[in-house]
Amino acid sequence: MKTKKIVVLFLFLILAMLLTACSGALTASSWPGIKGNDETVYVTYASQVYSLRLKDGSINWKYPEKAEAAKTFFAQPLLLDDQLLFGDYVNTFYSLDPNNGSLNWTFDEAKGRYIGGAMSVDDLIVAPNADHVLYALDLNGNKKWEFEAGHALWSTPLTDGEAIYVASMDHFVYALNKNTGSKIWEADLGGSIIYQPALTPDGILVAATVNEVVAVNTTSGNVLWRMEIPDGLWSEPVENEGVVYFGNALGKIYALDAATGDLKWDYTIDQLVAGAAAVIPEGVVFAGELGKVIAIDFNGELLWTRQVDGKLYTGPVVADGMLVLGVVGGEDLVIAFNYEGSEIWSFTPGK
Amino acid sequence: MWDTLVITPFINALLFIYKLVGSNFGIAIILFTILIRLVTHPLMVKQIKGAQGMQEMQQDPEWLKIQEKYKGDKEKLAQEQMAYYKEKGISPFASCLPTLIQFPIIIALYQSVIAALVSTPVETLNLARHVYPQFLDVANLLPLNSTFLWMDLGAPERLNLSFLPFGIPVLAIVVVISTYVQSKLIQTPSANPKDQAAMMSNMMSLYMPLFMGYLALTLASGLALYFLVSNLVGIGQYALLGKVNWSNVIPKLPGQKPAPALAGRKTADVKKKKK
Repeated sequence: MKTKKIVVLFLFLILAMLLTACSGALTASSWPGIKGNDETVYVTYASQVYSLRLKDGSINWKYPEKAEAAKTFFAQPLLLDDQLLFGDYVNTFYSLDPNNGSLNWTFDEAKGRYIGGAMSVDDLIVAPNADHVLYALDLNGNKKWEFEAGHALWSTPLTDGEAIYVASMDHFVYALNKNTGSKIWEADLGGSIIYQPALTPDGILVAATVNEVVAVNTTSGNVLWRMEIPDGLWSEPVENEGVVYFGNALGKIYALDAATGDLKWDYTIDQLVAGAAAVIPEGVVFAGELGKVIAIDFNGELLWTRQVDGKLYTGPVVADGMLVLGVVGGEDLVIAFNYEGSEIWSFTPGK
Repeated sequence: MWDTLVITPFINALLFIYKLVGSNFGIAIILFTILIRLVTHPLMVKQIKGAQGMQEMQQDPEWLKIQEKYKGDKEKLAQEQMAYYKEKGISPFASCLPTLIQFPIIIALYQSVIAALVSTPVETLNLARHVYPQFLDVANLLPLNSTFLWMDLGAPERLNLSFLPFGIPVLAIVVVISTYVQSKLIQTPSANPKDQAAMMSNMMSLYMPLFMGYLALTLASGLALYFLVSNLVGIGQYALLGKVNWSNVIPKLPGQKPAPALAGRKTADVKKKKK
C-alpha cells in the first residue's frame, strides 16, 4: 500500500509539472529589451539584465547577480546619465547605476507588469504599466503624478518636449501635460495600440493598431489619415525624414509619406515583420520573425540580407555605428552587426 | 495537427462566447466549460455505467463463486471472466475508454483557456494566429477584458482586504473544497475493507483536492475558475444521473441508518427479486 501511495504521489507531481509547463501563466515571455550608447549595450531578458561591452559583447555585469524565477525583465531599458531604468513583469520599477549594476532605488506602487519601456522628459521619468496607469517619477523614484487610461499601457510613451503622448490597448492615444499628467486631448484610433507610435518633427504622430496605421495631429488630436493593413500589423512604425516605415504580418514592408499617408514604395519578404526598423545612414533595417534581417535603402532597393538562428520579435537597435539584435529561442541572445551586415559579435548568457 | 484540429476551434469557440456575452472572460469560461461538459456528457454516462458494471461484478455472488473455484488456476479464471463479461454484457473497457477520450478534450480546454488569457504582446500575436479571420475580427476583440469580479483571470487570484496584510486565495480554497466534495459524492462505499480499488479511491479523494488547489493557487485564476466550474458541473451531472452519495459529505443524524452502497443497491434489488 505504501508503494502505491508513493506511485500516486509521483503521478500527481508529474501531472503538476506537465500542467504548469504548458501554462503560460508562470512562464510569460517576450523579447529582449535593448538600449545602447557608445560603450555599452544593456539587455533585459527573462530573469536578468546584462551590461555588455559594445566593442566585443563581453559582459560587464548582470543584475541580479543570482537570477530569481519570480522576477523577469523584458521592458526596454531607459538610459540616463547615471541611471539605467526598467520595470519587471511583477510590478517593480528599478533604477540601477549603469556603471556597476548596483541598485539606486525601486518603485513598487504599480499593480501590473512593465511591458513597455520608460521615457524621460526634463527631470521626469514616465513609466507605462499594464495596470492601465502611466507613472511619472522624479529622478529619485518619487511619484510626481499618475494618469490612468482605460486599459493596459504596453507601449513606450513619447514626447516632443512639451506634451507626453501615450498609446493604450484601450484604442486611444492620450496627450498629457508633462507637469501635471492632466489630459490635453485623446484620440480614438479604433483598435488596440501595442507598439510605440512614431513622432515626426512637424507634429504628426503615427500609430499602428492591429490592422491600421493612423496619423494624428499632435496639437489637436485630430486624425489626419489612416491606412488599412488587411493582413495584420505587428510592427512598430518608425519615422525618418518625413517617411514612415513598418511591415505587416505577411512580410510586406511599407514606406509612407508621414504627412499624407501616400505609399512611397513597398518591399516583400517571406515572413512576418516584427518590431521597429532601425534607421542607418544608407537605409532602414527590418527584422523578420523567422530570423531574417534585411536592409533596404531609402528608395526601396535591397542592400543586404542576413539570417540568424532564432526568432526576432523586435527590430535591431542602433548603438554607435552598430546594429544590436535581440534573439528569442536561438543559440545567441544578442547579435551585433555593422551597417554592412557583417556580424561583429554575439552574446550567449552563461557562456 | 493538435493545434489546428483541436486548440484553434476551441479558442475560436471561447472567443465567440466572449464576444457574445459582452466581452466578459469569466462568463465566457463558465459557459464554455458547461458547453464542453454537456458535449462530453454521453461519454461520461458510458463511463459511469461501465464502472458500475465492474463494481457490481465484484459483489455478484456468481462471480465470487467463480473466483473461489478457480483461485489456483489463473488461466481458467481469465477464461471464465471473459465468459462472465459476455454473459452479463459487460465491457471491461467501457469505463476507461470514455475517460481516455475525455482526457484530451479537458487538456484542450485547459490549453485554450491559457492561450486566450493573453497578457503580453507575444501572447497576443500567438492568439491572433489562432483566430479564424472569417469568423472573428482580432482588431475588435482586443483588448481582451480578463477581469472578472475581483480577479485578473490572467494572474493567480488573491482577495485583498484592507485589514489584512496578505491576500486570501479564495478561488484556490473553493477549488480544494469542490474537488473534495465531488470526489466524495461520487465515491461508492465498499463493503470490503481490503478492497484495493476503494483504498485507491480514498487516496485520490485526498490527494486530488490538494493537487487541484496547488494548481489553482499558482496558475492563472482563469484556469482556477475553469476547475471550479468543471467540478460544480460534474457534481450536477452525477446528481442528474442519480449517482451521488450525499451521505458521504452530509453528516448522519443520530439514529439515522447508513445509506446503502451505491454499487450494492442494484445487487440488493436483484437479490430481492430472486426471492
